[in-house]
Amino acid sequence: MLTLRRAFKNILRRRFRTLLVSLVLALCVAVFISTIVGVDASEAAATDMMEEYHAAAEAAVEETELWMRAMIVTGGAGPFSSPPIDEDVVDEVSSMDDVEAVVPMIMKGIGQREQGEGSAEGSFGSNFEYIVHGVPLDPALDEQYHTLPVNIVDGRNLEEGEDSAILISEELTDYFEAGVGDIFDIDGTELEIVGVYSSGIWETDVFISLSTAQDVLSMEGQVSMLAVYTESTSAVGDVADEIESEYPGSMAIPLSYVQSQFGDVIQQQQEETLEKASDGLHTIQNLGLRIILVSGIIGVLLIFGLMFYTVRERTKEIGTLKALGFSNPDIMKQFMYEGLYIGLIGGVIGLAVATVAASLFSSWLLNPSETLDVSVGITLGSMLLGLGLAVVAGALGSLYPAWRASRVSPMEALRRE
Amino acid sequence: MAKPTLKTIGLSKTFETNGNKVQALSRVNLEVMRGDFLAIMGPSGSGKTTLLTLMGCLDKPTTGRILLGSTGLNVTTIPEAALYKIRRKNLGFIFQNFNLLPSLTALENVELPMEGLIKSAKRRRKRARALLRMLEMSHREKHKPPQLSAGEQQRVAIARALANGPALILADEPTGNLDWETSVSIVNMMRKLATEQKRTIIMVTHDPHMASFASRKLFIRDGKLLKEDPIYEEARRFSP
Repeated sequence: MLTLRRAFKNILRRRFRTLLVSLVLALCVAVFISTIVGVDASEAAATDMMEEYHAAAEAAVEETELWMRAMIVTGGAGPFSSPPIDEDVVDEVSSMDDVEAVVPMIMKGIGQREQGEGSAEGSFGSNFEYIVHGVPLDPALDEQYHTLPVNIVDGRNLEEGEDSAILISEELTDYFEAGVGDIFDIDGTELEIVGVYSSGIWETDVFISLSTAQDVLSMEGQVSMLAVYTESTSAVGDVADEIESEYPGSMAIPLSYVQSQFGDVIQQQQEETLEKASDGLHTIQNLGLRIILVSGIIGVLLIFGLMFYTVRERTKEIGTLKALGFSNPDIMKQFMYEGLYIGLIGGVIGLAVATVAASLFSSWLLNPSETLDVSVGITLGSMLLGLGLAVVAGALGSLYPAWRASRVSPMEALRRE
Repeated sequence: MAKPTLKTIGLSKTFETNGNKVQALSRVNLEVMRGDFLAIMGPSGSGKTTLLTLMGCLDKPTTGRILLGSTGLNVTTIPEAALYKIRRKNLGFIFQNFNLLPSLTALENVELPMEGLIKSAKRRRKRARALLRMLEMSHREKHKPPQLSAGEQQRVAIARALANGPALILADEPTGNLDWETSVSIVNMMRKLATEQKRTIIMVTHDPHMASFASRKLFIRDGKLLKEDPIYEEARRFSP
């Protein structure tokens, strides 16, 4: 106890020096803690992303199964240039053998984009300013056949019976500088933007109810295409043939063909994003480890330097203590305590700094990749580790100087100055 | 017949530096009895500090023996790492530069040597206060060394030397950094400790005036102990 008290009084003798070393050590501790929480947060973000990917992958598998039983029926070649289909055809096709469901849709391109204006190549490689999708707002249909986009990033999706609402892509919010709550004008008809979805393959598209699309686009009683779902994958070919023969001039394209064009692209995009995030995380982890190591080494060297100088400065005092009857272990203990005290002071100040600035430090040091959505927060564990670093730096840094102090000869007490 | 507090037999010390051997002490035989106030005098380089170092168990002799205390403990056989126990229990030191710890108060400096021997903080404090009272330093017990005058610091150092009731007190030029008046008062104090409290004190000094306060004087030259130094005797005869 007395040695502890004496050690504390000794470090207060050189207040400025003690404070300076403690502040630098505090910076090391703050960097250490910030790095730990930054890496932890990046790992959590990467885990979240992987979980999201796996969920998306599972959904994609489900979707694939659906696509294998589906086909798109148009009045001719291409969704934009073919003649419209009468709505009556919906019931007729529904009554065919092996047909599970028919979803009528409108798809029409509006305007043209100049070269280099926003996303010049729109959905399906088109150059329209945007594409209008008119879909039935039927929750049962949507749940079964995914008639609406699912990845809403702002606002909400369309609801049953909404005739004045519109859902737009993220790309269009930039293009038109509009967002949730704003008015979207389609050929003089004002519709309220209720939601924004993440672009994906529907990059320059908007979604409205089928009836609203028919009004706005002057297609009363007509649709652009039908999505036809068969009861089994083996029936797709037969149903497609039957439709084409029943309605000459029409085209029935199985979606398994479309899926092979776009599904792989989506999957590849997701895998690339995941790989980028994984690489980013490994970079952050490696960088974090180096920062932690360097801050630890600096902390130890700082204390070592200070205590080494202190022992040299107090050789006469050490000799006197030995002359008075203090043993080598007593001397070593005292100087170890002095190093530990300085470590502790630096640790506490470092904790305070980290509590305030961890987020700033970790983003500056680690620069997490843009693919990871990182949110940094101090944890009790990281605080204890930071304090532990400071104490260990104090112990390790003062070990050799304290041993040197214990070897000082008691004859130093008689040294004339 | 009373046993000496300290006895040296054939004490010699040789230092080796860069291959050269220097005989600092040569076959010193000395006996110091309880209550002696012995002054050891000699010019610079005569070996007096080396003798003090060996008697204080701060270093080991090359040859010879040192017997300490009434039991005649041969301290030369004790390993160096264990000598601290001998110093703590049996020896007190007074240094030319006082050597007080600047971060501690006068009271804490006096308590310092008691740490290993007296467990009770209350007892340590009580004993330290009594010593400071004896040295007329009670009113300054809360002051730290930089706040004390040279004379006051040396009084505190004397109190510290007495902390564990040592068999022997060794003083290395205790008045070396003091003015005349303060020096006289310090050496007087030491004489009183010897005569009134029967403390055994060995003082190393080059000052014949301070040495004159001692009850015994020995002279040392070129590492050899002399009973008296003719030149000093001659100087004393004619000094005022």
